[in-house]
Amino acid sequence: MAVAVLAAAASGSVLLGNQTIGVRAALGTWLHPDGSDVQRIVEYLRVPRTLVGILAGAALGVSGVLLQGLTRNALAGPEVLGVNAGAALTVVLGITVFGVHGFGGWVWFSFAGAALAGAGVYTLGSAGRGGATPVKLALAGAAATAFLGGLTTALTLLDINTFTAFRYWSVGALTSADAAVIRTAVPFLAVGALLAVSSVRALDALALGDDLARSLGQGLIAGRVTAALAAVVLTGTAVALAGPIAFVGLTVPHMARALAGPAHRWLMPYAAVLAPIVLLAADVLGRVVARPQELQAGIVTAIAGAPFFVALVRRRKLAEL
Amino acid sequence: MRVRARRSPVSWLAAVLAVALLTGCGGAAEEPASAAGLTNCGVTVPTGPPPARIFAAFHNGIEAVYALGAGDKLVGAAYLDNPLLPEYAAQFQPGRKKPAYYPEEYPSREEVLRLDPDFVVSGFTGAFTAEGLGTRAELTKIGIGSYLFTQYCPAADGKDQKDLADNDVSLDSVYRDLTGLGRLLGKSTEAQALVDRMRKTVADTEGKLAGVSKPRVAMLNRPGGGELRVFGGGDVATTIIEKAGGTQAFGDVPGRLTRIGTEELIKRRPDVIVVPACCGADVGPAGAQEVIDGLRKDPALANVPAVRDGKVYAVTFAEITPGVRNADAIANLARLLHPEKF
Repeated sequence: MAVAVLAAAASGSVLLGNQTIGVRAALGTWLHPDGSDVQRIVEYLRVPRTLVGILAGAALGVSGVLLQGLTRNALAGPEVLGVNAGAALTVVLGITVFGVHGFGGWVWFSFAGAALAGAGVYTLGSAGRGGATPVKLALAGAAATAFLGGLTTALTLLDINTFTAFRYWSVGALTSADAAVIRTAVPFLAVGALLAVSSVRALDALALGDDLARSLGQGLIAGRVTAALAAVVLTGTAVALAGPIAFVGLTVPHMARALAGPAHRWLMPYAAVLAPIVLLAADVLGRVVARPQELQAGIVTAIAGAPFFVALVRRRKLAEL
Repeated sequence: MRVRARRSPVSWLAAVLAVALLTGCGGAAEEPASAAGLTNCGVTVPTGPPPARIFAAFHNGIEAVYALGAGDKLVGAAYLDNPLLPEYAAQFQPGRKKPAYYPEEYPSREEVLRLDPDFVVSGFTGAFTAEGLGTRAELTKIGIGSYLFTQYCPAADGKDQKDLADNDVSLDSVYRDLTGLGRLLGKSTEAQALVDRMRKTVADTEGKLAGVSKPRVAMLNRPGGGELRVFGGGDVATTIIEKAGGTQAFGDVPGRLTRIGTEELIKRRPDVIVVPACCGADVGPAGAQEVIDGLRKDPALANVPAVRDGKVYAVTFAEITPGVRNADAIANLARLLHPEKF
């Protein structure tokens, strides 16, 4: 069912937009290519942005599930635990200090930043008595987000040109990556997905509480590290592909939980399918509401996501993790 | 590019309201002169003895001061978008603080006040906001006169570039600005000569273009390699394209700069694309090369006539901002659009 909706969303993303393209015309791109504008739009614009929506969406959705399970914090997400902020800071550093242009270059910076921030937050959150408790992790994440965000703001205010480049990217859009960038991203996402799948049992055990999990014989540290690594890889790649899109990683896990229950082996695939639906729907909406302009997908998810999230919080009493 | 964003729907509404309110008292773009002073963007600027210490913000503001022959009064300047015109380059000596020059950031209000200016000329309205040097009313209160190019009159004093009134973007408004500013700086004769020269350049160009077929021209930039932004009907770029014998491909798009997707550019099929290079005293037309190469290499744009025929050109941002370069900008663009006529 959810997969069918995703297929519909993906088709919509290829056919709808600035101009509506018929199914037959779209298929012609591969069946009898003629280099017309319509086929160029499908091949070089609509299909890449749809793929970015699917890949970045799935990565953010799964990443949200991982981080919420990891911290047993219903309000966790890549944006809460400093992973997004770390990726954003290194990308801005890449632009200012190293003069990196284009998304092929940003991938690596985003990746490094997500990893460093994730590792830093994890280290900070594990220090002291009791190890990496959910509360300490969330606090460390909040502190890191504030600190890294401050540095990013300082850098962007120092240099107006950087700020312009960053502003576009920082909102989040599906139009930035081309086929080559998408190809670069796929192996990273595959690694992230593998790590995510292998952390499922540990996350289920963690949901019972640290003490119970330990008594069940789960390797808590190893499980946490795997899940955290998966989240970093997935978020870093998603951010490089589409910018730090807000609310998807935070909201979609709750939708998935409503449909699939709390077991992570169901939660994860559901999030991986639901998140792209949300992101593609947001992107298509952004293309048609303000023609001839386009609203970036990140703007739409932020505007539509906030009230949706509030409704979700009020209905489900979030303290259930 | 910096603070020059397009108008939002809300500010459109505000602009319409403002115009409705102002029609009773002459309109914002007019420059009625009276004994007390000259009205500029709704602010009355006294026409007493000419200022002795001028601070100029933005490229068009700085060059206007030089072009009117008041360069020796310039104590401070901020933001050049491109190299200065060669005829003013010798006077511009930031190394000797003649004037003190701020290339990138807004100098703080204090820093500007320390230069002790008695007049501020700005090419964009961002200078006259709380984040900039203060509103014009605040400057007036401490005895500093001000002038703002009227194509960037804000909806109200203190509003920024995102919140412009519905301004006249014709060349006449540029001529009015130079005449008005000339009068305030005590350089009316120079202003008249400058405007006459500009009118002649435009008339000569138009004379050569009789009966030409008009290619569709899109003027756009792509700050930071991100989104495309086209200059719309609310920018002097439209005036320049039309006077140079072109049809503005995005003339129906209101406002100054509008973000568009690549698909919209494909749909409009411009015959010529012009990319203004910006921003810095060392950024010539070559500064637009990266954007131009990106457009040429984009497989999605391969059928767009301008890209297909190799008609993607670089100009300077300074020449398509309201100011002393506009007439030459028209002549330059006309040469690019209709080389056979020159």
